[in-house]
Amino acid sequence: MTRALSLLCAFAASAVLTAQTVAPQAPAAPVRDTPAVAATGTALVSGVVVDDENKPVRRASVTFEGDARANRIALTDDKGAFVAANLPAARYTIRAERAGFATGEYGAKHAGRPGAGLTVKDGDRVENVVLHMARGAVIQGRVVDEKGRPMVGASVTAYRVVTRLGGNTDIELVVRSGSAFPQTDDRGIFRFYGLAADEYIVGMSPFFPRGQESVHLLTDAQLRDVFGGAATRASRAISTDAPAAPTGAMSPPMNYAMVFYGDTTDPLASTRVRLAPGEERTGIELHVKLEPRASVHGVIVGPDPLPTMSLELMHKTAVQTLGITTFSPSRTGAVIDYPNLTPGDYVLSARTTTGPALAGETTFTLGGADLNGVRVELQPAATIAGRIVFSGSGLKPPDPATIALSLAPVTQFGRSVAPRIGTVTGDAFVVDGVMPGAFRVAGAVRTTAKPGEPAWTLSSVMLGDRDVTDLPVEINAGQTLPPVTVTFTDTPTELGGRIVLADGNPGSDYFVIALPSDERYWVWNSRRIKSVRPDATGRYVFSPLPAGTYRIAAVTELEQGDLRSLTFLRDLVAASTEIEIAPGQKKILDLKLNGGTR
Amino acid sequence: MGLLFLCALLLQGAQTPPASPPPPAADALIFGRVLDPAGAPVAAAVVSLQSARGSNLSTTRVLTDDDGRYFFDRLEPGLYNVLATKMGWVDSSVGKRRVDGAGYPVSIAEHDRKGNTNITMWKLGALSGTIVDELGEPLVDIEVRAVRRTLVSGTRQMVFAGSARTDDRGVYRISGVRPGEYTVFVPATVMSGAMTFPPGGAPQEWLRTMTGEGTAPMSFDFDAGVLGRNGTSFVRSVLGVASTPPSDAPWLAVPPSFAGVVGAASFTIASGQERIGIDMMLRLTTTYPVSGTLTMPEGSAANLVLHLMSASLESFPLFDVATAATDSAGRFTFYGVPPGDYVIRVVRTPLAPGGLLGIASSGANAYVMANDRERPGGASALPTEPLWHVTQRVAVSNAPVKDLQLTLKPGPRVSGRIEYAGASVRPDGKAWNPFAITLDHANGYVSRNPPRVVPGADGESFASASVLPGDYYVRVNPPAGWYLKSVVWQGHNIIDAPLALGTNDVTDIVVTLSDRPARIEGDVYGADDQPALSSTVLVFPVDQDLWTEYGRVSPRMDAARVNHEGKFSTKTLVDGSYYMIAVADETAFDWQDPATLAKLAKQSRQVTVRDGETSHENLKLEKIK
Repeated sequence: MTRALSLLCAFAASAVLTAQTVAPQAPAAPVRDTPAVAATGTALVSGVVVDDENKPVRRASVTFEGDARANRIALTDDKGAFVAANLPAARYTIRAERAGFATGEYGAKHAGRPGAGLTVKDGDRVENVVLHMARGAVIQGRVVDEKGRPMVGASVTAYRVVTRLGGNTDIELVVRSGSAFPQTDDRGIFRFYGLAADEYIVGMSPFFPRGQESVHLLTDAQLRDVFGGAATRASRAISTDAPAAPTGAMSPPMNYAMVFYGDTTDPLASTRVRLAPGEERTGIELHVKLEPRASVHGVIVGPDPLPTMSLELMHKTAVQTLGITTFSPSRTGAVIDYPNLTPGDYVLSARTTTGPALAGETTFTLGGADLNGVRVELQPAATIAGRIVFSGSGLKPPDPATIALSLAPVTQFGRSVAPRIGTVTGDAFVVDGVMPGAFRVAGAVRTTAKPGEPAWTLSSVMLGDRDVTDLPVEINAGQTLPPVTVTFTDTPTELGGRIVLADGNPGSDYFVIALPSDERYWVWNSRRIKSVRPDATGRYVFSPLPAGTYRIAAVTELEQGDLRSLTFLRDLVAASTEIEIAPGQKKILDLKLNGGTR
Repeated sequence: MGLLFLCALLLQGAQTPPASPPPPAADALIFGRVLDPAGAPVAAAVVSLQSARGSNLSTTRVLTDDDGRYFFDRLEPGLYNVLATKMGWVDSSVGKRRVDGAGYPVSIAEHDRKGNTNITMWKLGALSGTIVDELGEPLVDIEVRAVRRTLVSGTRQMVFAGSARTDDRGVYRISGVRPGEYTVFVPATVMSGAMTFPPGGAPQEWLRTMTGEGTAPMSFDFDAGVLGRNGTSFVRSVLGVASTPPSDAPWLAVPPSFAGVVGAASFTIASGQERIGIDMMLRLTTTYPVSGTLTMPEGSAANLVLHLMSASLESFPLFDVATAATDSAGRFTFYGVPPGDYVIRVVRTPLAPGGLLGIASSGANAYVMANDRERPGGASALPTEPLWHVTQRVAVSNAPVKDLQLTLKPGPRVSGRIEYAGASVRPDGKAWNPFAITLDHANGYVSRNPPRVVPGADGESFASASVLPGDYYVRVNPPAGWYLKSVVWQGHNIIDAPLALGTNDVTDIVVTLSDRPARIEGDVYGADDQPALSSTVLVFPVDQDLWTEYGRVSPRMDAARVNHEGKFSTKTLVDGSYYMIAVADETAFDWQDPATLAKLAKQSRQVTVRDGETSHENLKLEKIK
């Protein structure tokens, strides 16, 4: 399911959620349009699939995923039994799947957990393999409005709490059987099933169904004025009083607010739903309320005439995942006008897209009332400049166009997520129009791929006399920073080795992860946090890897997003080996794993 | 009065009067209730007030209170549309008297206090049940579809009306069902093939053939294993995924299952009704593989999707009994085919140069979407390559079918010129809506992938992409100020008889437009000689042959709802003899049924519509006898 959904998100023209909630990406598989003739061999694997009560699971698909064309899928019979005959010798991941159940993988401690893999040789007969599945847990509930009436077609989402790099607590979409974005039915009911035992947050997502754009509410007093005092519940009764114009103004535009279980708009304050394996939890009721929407008006102050600008309005929410940024890439004129905003904290920033590099930003808090007089003052944007050094014996790149220097954002979220590209002239470079924020200096030299030419990699970044290589640099508005020295080297630093299992066999079904020991380097898109897959002989290599001290670990399963999860990385540290690599050094580290072939 | 008023407003918009009179007071009030058909209030419905004047469209929305009440005040005089929407209910408006009917705009004068402007809304219903296997265990995450008995082009058809997937208990619930007659079934489509999505992209050949013209509406289940695993050859049925069995032996599978039989046991759902307990037990039966080779005259026939469907549903595809994808040699095997008569169809949708297909999601379902269709400008989006297609009948008795040889053929194209009869300024290509000309199936079938037709840049020609052979009408929705007069091919009127497209291109169609509309206008009065506001004027051709097989929409039929003053105006009609009758709108449900038309004809007035003439007819409200 997870693989499937990643494709869906990749193609959805109007992705329903922000990009960071995209489900794990399947490891890039080679395109095969050649006939899938399964290779045949002489090995046999048979066994049984059972649930958490040791009862057989019928009609589970048992997938044997091995090298090349050795893949096989067997369906269990009424006794839960499966047989895969004529298997070629290979190392297999064996996985039992059935809708509504947590996956059972060979060698896994529990259902839903990654397994270990099974190596079979020609002529082997491996019998009595037991795959453990677990009936998935269920969350069922209802969405109702203030008066207890069901909300039809509301999008409900299940999340898990995660900690992002940089220490921020965030929530992450849970993708399971059925739809990831179920809508309540005509009774307002939603149901998630096939869930792993875990702690969940349930919320109605901020995307509103059709026909429920902002509305105005009519007060009882106004309705009395219009319909007459005799207006009664008996709706066919015709008022005999002359209708009068209603007194008082219209309500502000209202809309249904995002809400989480426990009647809160803050997902972290939500009542969490802790599910035991196979538990069916019902009665999760979400109460939606109408909240006022307000508009924001103001002006952008700058040179006359105002240059073309890009404008970003970011809604700062309790967690990054729910933060929404409205981006206008090109606009002219001084007027700021955002209608129908939800109450909350906002950052509004402007940056020129033509002419002199100017930037400005303001923050404001919106309650239920319209806000006028917001001002964004354009000031000269921050600039960083410096020189480029090529340290090494190889020929320097003759064409400055092949040198890419930029300021890369260190968080995946919020404002200015696109890197700011610098201009290189000879040995000098400049990056202008830099908005306030935290960045790291990134640099690369595009290789011409001609044999014998050196491959240059970034080796250090000095801000004045401070080493900021791969570290965040805080930049304020209008600031001029000390000159920066960016050094490239043609002697790449490397780390490689072999994954060896307890029985001496090579471990190839793993991900090897390199992680800086110093948490300051744990930023988004860091070139120091890397994963590679070993080849069939268990060999892995990280090249180039910036010099430094690393923790190296091997895991059987790695999902997209794991390397951006602080919790995941900290868990990894405990199960890792530390190694220090000096600039230009090539080190070898063999990892011996406990997992066996049987 | 209303019309005069509208003209005055338009004039005001067009030019500033030299001595502008004081603007009308914005002090009018309109109020009413939103009620269900039984007269009970509908609370928390969104009522929107739209200024019915073209360009300056402003909308105000209010929420009804517990008593269904709403009002709008401080209104300028004018014509307004008052609409009501609510999730789980059919959209409605003032004047709407039946679920498929139309409403009318409300006219508001200065100082008006317009009360009792009520809106009737119909609640959507639901179909629900449990699907189990032969041991009574729930079948989880399988698709259940609903089809509605619908009048299409004068005949009753079962038309796709919604789908849902079963949950962990095997329970499905198809919500959002309009009042009508339904059947529910499990398509139990067996999918087979071997496919791996390339990283970062969908296999274009697979997408092009997955939902081709003339194939079943397809809601993707991404987990279906259609993608295979690293090229593993697989077969997926409602029972699970497995490696492909031999293609020359019987195979146990669950065939498509209906609650009752198509066309017989169906459920009539009233507004807001829920029908629960539509349970089904799916049983294993012996089925047979159907295999063969697909050949493409140009290029490779790899990764193409073949659809196998019941022969009786060939012209209105509802579901695939089996779906298969070819390997690199064009070989395919369908599994799970019970004995019966079938049609295998492959349609490879042509793409405009540079066009790309992607997958868009909508709720739980995902659809194939071509980005070239969305490109504005239209003309550049016409594919130059042919549509490749093959339709092959196959009968399955009690044995596997092997060695079928299917060869894709290019589909024909249609083109012609557009002539303008009249002195008005001729529209160029830009004035034409890029989707204004369509090729409609004569039987009214509408596919997800309708053939593309684009008007030329000069506005004097049109051309279609290569299409699936079949009977088609060329339907035209001319630019403002122009009206359809005739569509002729080699001297044949092809407004009333479809064009049977086979293998040859058709190049010399002549579409003639006129700048003078032909239509019928008038007033409808009730028995009390008062304007009959509840009425609808039905217009249909005298020639009974034109009561069926007229495509999606008949150019000779119209149901013109009277306005707030009892006046009606039909759509523009092509010349000929027509029947017309005014009936209460709520009695006009399914009036296009030929049996109803035959009854109506006896009570109707016969009128002749001539090119470019607007005729006036006043009618009395009639009861359908």
